[in-house]
Amino acid sequence: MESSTNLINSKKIAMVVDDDKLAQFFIKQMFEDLGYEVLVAVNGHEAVRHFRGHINVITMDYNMPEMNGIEATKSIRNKESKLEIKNPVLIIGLTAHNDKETIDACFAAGMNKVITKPVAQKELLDILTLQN
Amino acid sequence: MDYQDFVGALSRCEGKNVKVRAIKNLCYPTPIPEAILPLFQDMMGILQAARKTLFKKDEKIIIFGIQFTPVARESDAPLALKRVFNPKAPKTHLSCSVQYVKKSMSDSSEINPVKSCESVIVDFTVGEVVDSNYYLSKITHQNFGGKLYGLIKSERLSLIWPAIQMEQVNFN
Repeated sequence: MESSTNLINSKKIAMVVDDDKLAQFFIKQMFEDLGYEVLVAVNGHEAVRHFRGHINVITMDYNMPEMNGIEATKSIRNKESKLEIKNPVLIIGLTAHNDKETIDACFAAGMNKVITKPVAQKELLDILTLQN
Repeated sequence: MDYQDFVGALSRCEGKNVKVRAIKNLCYPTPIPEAILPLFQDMMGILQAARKTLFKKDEKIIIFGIQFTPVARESDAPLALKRVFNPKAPKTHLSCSVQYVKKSMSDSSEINPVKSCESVIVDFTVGEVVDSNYYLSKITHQNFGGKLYGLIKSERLSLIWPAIQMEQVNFN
């Protein structure tokens, strides 16, 4: 996890949660191009541990070791409830699974959008630009 | 693509330094067309030939997984080569990330893919077998360096592509 101690308060913050280095790098760069400060977590545990309600948008990989994207999303939503956060973070799920059951499970866990891999650059950029 | 078929295809063409081992539930190859299975023989040959850049003399790589690359490479090549994989996004290349761990030749201990996983990218549209930085250069149009390990011959790709497209029509 990259340090979040020196983040500038006025900047929007994104977190990329993915065990794939290529995805981490690419999506991080995409966020930075849109002016975000970016945190990177390599699994769900890291993402949940570092979430304190200060993040505007999260891209969440579905399939990760230790804690997957479904469990991490549920934990983050629970944390939001406990912290009484008024503006829930936008969670965009990324998954190679294209079956309805998986996609429904992503939404049920609390993801706001789900994109199937391989991620089309324009699709992700459109979502992030709208959010921005 | 069934995971066991992937492992089976690779195990039939293992080299001295390029091995395969089945570790279930670490990847999800189901959406990947199985028509590409014959091309893994070409990939294995390229990796074995690239041993000087891929690993040291006393090392081996053990392949255990495959999945779509997380971010798609896009260019005019799929249309120009008549190798459109996704009609809804016709510029998208069919690229997969093949995951492996590196070990010394004498090390027969269990592999820990979570801690030491690396990957090689195979672009089945243009035939490039590359490392992550090379692929990143292609998707971002910036120079991150990287290595091109080799090319799958275009004739081989042309033979396989009609089957890939047929499979995608049935899959969708």
